[in-house]
Amino acid sequence: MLKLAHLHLLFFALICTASAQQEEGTRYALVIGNNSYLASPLQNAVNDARIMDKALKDAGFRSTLVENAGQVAFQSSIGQFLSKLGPSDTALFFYAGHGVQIENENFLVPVDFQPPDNLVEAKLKLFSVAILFDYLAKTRHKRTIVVLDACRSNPLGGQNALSAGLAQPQNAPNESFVVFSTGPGKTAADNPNGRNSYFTEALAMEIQKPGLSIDDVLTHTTATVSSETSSRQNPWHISSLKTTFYFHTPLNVEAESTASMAVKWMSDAKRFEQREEWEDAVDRVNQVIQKKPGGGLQAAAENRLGYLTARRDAQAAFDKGDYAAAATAYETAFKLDPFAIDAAFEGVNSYLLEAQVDQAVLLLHDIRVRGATESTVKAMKMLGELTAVNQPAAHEVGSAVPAPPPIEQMFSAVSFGVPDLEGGRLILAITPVDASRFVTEIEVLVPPVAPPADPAAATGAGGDQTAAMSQVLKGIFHLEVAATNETRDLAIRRAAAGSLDSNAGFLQLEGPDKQIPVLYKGQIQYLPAKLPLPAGKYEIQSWQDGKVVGTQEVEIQAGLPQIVTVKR
Amino acid sequence: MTRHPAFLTFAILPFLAAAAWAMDGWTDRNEYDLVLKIRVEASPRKQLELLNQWKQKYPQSAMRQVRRELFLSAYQASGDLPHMFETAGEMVAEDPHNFVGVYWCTLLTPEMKDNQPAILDAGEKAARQLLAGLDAYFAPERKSPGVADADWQKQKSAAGLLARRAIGWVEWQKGDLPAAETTFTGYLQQEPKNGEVASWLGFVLAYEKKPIPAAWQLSRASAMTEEGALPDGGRRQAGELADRLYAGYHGDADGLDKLKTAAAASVFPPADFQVESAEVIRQRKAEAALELADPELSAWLRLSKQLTGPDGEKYFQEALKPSPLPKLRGTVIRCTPAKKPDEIVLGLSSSDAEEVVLKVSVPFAYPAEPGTQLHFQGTADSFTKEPFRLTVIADQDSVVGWPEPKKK
Repeated sequence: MLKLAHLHLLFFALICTASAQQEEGTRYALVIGNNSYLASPLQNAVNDARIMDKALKDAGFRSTLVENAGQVAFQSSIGQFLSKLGPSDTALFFYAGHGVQIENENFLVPVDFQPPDNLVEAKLKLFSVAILFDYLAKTRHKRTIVVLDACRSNPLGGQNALSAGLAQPQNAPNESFVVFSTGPGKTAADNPNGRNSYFTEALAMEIQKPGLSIDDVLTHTTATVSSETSSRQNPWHISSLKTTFYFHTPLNVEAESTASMAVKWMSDAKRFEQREEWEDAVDRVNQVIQKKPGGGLQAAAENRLGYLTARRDAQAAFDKGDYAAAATAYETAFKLDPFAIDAAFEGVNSYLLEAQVDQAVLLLHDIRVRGATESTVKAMKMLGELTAVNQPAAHEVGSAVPAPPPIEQMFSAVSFGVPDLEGGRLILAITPVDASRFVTEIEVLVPPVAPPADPAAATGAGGDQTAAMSQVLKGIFHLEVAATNETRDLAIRRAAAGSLDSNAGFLQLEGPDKQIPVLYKGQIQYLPAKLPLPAGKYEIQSWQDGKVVGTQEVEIQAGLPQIVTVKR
Repeated sequence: MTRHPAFLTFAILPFLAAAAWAMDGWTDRNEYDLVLKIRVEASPRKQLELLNQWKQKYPQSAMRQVRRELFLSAYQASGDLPHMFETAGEMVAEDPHNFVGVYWCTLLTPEMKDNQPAILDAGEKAARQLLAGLDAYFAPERKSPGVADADWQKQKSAAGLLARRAIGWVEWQKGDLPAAETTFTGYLQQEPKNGEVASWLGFVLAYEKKPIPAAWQLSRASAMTEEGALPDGGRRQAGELADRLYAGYHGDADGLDKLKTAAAASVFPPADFQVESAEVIRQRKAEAALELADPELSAWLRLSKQLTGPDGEKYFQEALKPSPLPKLRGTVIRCTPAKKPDEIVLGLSSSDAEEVVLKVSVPFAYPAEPGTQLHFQGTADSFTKEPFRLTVIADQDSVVGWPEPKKK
C-alpha cells in the first residue's frame, strides 16, 4: 500500500546517517549482463547488470561491467577480476543472463553459445559456476559474494539434459554468500513488461539503502520479489559468512539493527494480514512497538495495532461461537479501517447470527457507501432478504444508492495538494546524483602527480627548471642528459615499481664542485652529480648561450657506474 | 411480502446504473471501484497497472491531479524517478503553481541524469516558482494539524534550499559556472552540512580551475558523516578527487592533512588560507639552489625581478639606491670609450642582454674583450625600465676579473 511504501522510506530516515568506511580492504565487483543470445535473447539482463553496477559503485565497489559477454570475454573478465583480489578484499560476482544445470552442475551461458552436439561439448562451451567457485576459493581474498540472476528458462528448449534453473551449489567458497534469484531448480521471470528483472530491481534498490546487512538486503529483496510475483518467485541464498557484511555500513549498528528489524516485522505483519493470520500479524506489530523505532514507523505500527487486534479478537470470538463479541470486534475493526469491507461483511454475519438485524443493517448501509460495486450488490441482496423482517432494511433498499466518499477519505494518510516532503528528503538521501561523470572529467583536467623524483636528483638543486630559470640557463654553460632513441621508456619503467629495477645503472658526472649545472628530467643539480638511469644509451649535451656546443654519448649498463668527467 | 433474491438483484441493477455518481468528483461508480482497488493494492507495480487503467478509462477525470499524486507515490515506492519527474511535469503543465508538481520537478531535476535543455528549463522554472511561492505554499493554513509550527518552518526552509540546489545545478549544467558557484555558496552559507552541495561546489570550482577551494569543498564533503552526508561511494570519490586536486596544485600531499582538518571544521577556507602551488615551490627551491650554487646570479635575479615589477621605481628609490648592491657578476658586452673605458655594458642573466651599465670613477687603462666575465660591487645610480638598464657606480678596486693587457 502507499502507506507502507512511505513507511519503508521513513524507516531509512531513521538510519540515514552516512555510514562509516568498512575496515576491510578493497571491494571488487565483476558484473556481467547477457541479453543478445543467438537462440533465446533476453530483454532485461543488460539493464540488470547496469543497475547493479551503479548500486555497487555507490557502495564503494570497484565494479567492472561487462555486457553481452561471449565465451572469450567471459573467461578474460573473470581472469582479470580474480587477479585483482588481495588478502583482505571482498569479491562480488554478479551475473544476469541465461543459466542452466547439467547433471546437477551449474553453468552460465555466454551469448555466443551454439547448441552443442553432446553434453561434453556443451560443458566446454559454457562457463562452470563450480570452476568459478574453485578459483574464488584459491585466491586469498577475505569474502566472496556471488549473485546469479540466471534462473531464466532453458535457452535451448529441447535439450533435455540441460535443465532450466540452477542446482544448489556444492562447492561454495568459505566466507561466501551465494544468492540465486529463485530457488534451486526453479525458473525466474525476466519481467517482459519492465526494464529490469523483479529480483535485480529489488536487490539493487535494497543495496542502496544505508545500514542494511547483506542478510537484511536479501530478506527485503525476497519479500518484494515474492509480493511482486504473487509468491511464484522466491529468491534463495546460502551463507557461510562469519561476519556481518554491510553494503553501506551504519554508524550506529544498534540503531540500525532496531530499525531494520522493525521494518522487517512491519513487512511480515502486512503479509500475515493479507493471509488473515491475525495473531501473527499482531505479534509482529507489537514487536515493532516494543522496539520503539520512533518516527512514522512506530506511529504506523501503533495505528495498525488496534485494527489487527480487533480482527484477531473477532476471529477468535467467531471461532468460539461467541458471535456477539465477534460482531462488536468486527465493527471496531471496520471503524478503525473504514474501507476494510471484508471486516464489515464478517460483522454483518456475526450480527445476523446473534439476530441483531438492526446492527447488521447499519453495517450494510456503510458497505453500500464505501464498498465497490460488487460489495454493494451483495449488500443490497442481503438487505433485500432482510426487508421482510426488518423495517430499516426495507428503508435502506428503498433509498437511493449513497454517493461514494470523496477520494480524500479513501487515502486519509495522504495529504493531497501538499508534497510528501519527508519522502522527498529521503529520496535525496537514498538516491544521490551520480557524480562519476564529473569526477572523470576533472581527473582528465588534473593528471595524477608523477612519483617523486630520483633521490639523487632531489638532493641536488631540486625543483624543475622554471621558464625564468630556463632563460637564465640559456646563458650559462651547463649540461643536459637526454635519452636517445635507444633508451627505454623511463616513465613506464619507473611507474611500475616506484623505483629503479635491477636493470639500472648510474651516470656519475665529475667536474668543478658546484659550478656546472646539470639539467636532467626537468631537475637542476650541480656537479658532481650521480644520476641513476635505466640501462640504455644517453647523450650528454654541453650547452652555451642556448646552443649545444658539444655532445658525448654514454651507455649505461645494469649495475655499473659510468663515470664522465666534464670540462668547460 | 417475500421477494426472491434473484428478482431483487435484477430489480436493483438498473437503479444502480441510473444513479448519479458524479458527486465528489466521481465520474461513475466504476471509477470509484477502480480507485478502491488501487487503495488496497500493496504492490507498487500492480498499483501502477491499476492507475494506468484509471488514466485510460477516465482521462478527463476531475481527480486527475490527485491521480497524478497517486502515480507519484507508486513511482516513488518503485524508485522510478524519471516517471516521477514526468508526472510532476504533467501536473505543472496543467497548473504552473501546483505545489506538488513544482516541488517534485525541483527535487528531481538533478536526479534525471539527463541534461536536455527541456529538462533543465523545466527544473529551473519549477525551482524559481517554488522559491517565489514559498510563503504561499507554506502558509500556516496549509499546515497539517499534526505538524508543529516549528517543523512547518523547517520544511519551508528545506524547500527553499531545495530550490537553490536545483537552480545551482541547472546553472552548472548549462555552463554558467560563476552563477553556480554563487548559488551553491549561498546554499552552504545557509546550510553548511550538506555533503552533496559541498561536493557540487567542489566540482564547479574544479572546472573553474580553482583547485584549492575545490579540494576544500570536496574534502569537506568526504569528511561529513552525519545527516546530510554523501553515501560511502560518493564520500570516497570526493575524498580521492580532493587529494588529487591538492597534489596536482601543490605537487605532493604535504599539508593535505591540514586542509582536511580545517575543511572538516569550517564550510569555507579562512581568508588567509593559502597553499603554495607546485610552480611557486619549484621556483623557490630552484632559487635556493641557485643561491647556493651561484649567489651572484641569484642576487641579480632577485634584484632585477623587483625592478621589473610594478613597483620597480619605488624599489629602486627606497631599497636599492641607498644601500650598496650585493656582489654581482656580468659578461662584458662593450666598453666606452673603446680605449680607456669608464663605462662597461654588462649582461648578467645572459651574455647578450644589456642590463647593467657599470661606471667607474677612474677609467681602466685598457679595454676588456666582449665575453669577459667580471665580478663587481657598487651602488645603484639610476634605472630605466624601458629599455631595462641599471647604472651602477663602482670603484675600480671593486671590479674583479678585468683582464691583463694584451702583450704586443
